[in-house]
Amino acid sequence: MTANGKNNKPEQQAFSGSEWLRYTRHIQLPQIGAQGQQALKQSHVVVIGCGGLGSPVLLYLAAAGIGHITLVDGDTVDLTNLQRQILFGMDDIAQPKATAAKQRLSQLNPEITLDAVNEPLSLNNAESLIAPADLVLDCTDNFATRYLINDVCATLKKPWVFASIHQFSGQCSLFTPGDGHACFRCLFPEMPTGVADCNTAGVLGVLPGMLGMFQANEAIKFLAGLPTPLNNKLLLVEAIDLTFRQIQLTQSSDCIVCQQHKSADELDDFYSAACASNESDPLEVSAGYFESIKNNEEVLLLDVRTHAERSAFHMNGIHIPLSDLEGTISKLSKNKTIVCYCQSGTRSLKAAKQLKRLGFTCHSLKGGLATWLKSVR
Amino acid sequence: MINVVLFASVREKAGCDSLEVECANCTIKELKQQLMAQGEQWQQALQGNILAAVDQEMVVDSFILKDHCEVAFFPPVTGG
Ligand SMILES: [Zn+2]
Repeated sequence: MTANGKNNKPEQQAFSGSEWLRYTRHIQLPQIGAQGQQALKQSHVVVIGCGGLGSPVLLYLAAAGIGHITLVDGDTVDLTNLQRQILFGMDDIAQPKATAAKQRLSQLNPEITLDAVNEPLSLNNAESLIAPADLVLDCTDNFATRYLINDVCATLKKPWVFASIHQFSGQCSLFTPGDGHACFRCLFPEMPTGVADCNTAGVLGVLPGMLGMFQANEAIKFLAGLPTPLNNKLLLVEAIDLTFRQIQLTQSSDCIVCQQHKSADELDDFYSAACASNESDPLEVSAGYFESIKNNEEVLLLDVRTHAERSAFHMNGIHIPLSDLEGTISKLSKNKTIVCYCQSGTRSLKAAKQLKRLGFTCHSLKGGLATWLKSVR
Repeated sequence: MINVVLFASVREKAGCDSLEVECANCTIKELKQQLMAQGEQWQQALQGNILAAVDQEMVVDSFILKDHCEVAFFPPVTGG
């Protein structure tokens, strides 16, 4: 009813009673208020990656009342994820991450719209997934996808929040294409090689929590019209000694995206070249095959991990750390088939290649102990 | 004196978090060379795609350092 009572149509209201109550503590903040909360409610955010960074990002964005969230992840939940991916529990193991995350978030906040996309971001789906977004959050774990997000966001002029982590170190930034600021390619023009991910290098469990929270903080402030100091700045974080720096970025004068306006379609080869390392080497054997031959008499298991890793868990056989292999090769008999193993399959493949050159019959356990342990669970 | 702060794999490979060096009026490139001359761990730490910032602003290799500035060296990282 309007004040003069002439119109019987119900007055429009921004929030239901339950929403109003749920978001009280935001609305009480003078910097957010009902207006800022309404801006969050009307926002559509696409979160790419529902892992270590995606967990805190999604929990806080859903709790904050972002009206529409699209969750993109082609992976399934694994026991090794639970050390840091706080969205998930034991019941979620082997479930698709995006669907499991959606279930958890809809319990947290049934007032919002959640779309789960159980596939990785790719050249085929990137543009259609990102086009409706007001803001994109990069919670992925690999460079190829980060460049794809950068390039598609540059073409579509979509702001995006980047974060990445390594062991005890993290980085975070807000990129806003079209405003003359730096993009991700201005910062890292060439695809870095030899940079370890969490699966091979390890990561402190709270680190993605810290960085994901910085991402969520910039995202919520950006959508509510509050200051976003990480725009055109790169935050560097060291969790060991709590060193923080904010590095001012500058647009590169020869960036292929900012200056030459190359689109993701034109850069197709770039993303596929980055993923080529997923192919199998002929020396590699699957976890299932490994399980079937590991007790054969003519097979010798060779653990090439460090002493510390060996003493924490092993599967018998013999132990020669990769770094000592060259000097110890005389210990090994050529009468047996040597099957090398390590944590993730990288070091064991190096060892197997080294042994093969010297005339040994050998294999490497693909995916390492991590994959084998999952397959026999 | 110039204060050098290291991040992520650079600190891990160099085996230290920060250090002070006498290197005023030299360029970032010369500072890198001076550090890499200190041993193999420094060569590994600073080789490849290592970025540099001076007083929290990105700079290129030819940037000339002033006394008392802070140089940060950091690599790209990609986990998530
Ligand atoms: Zn650029």
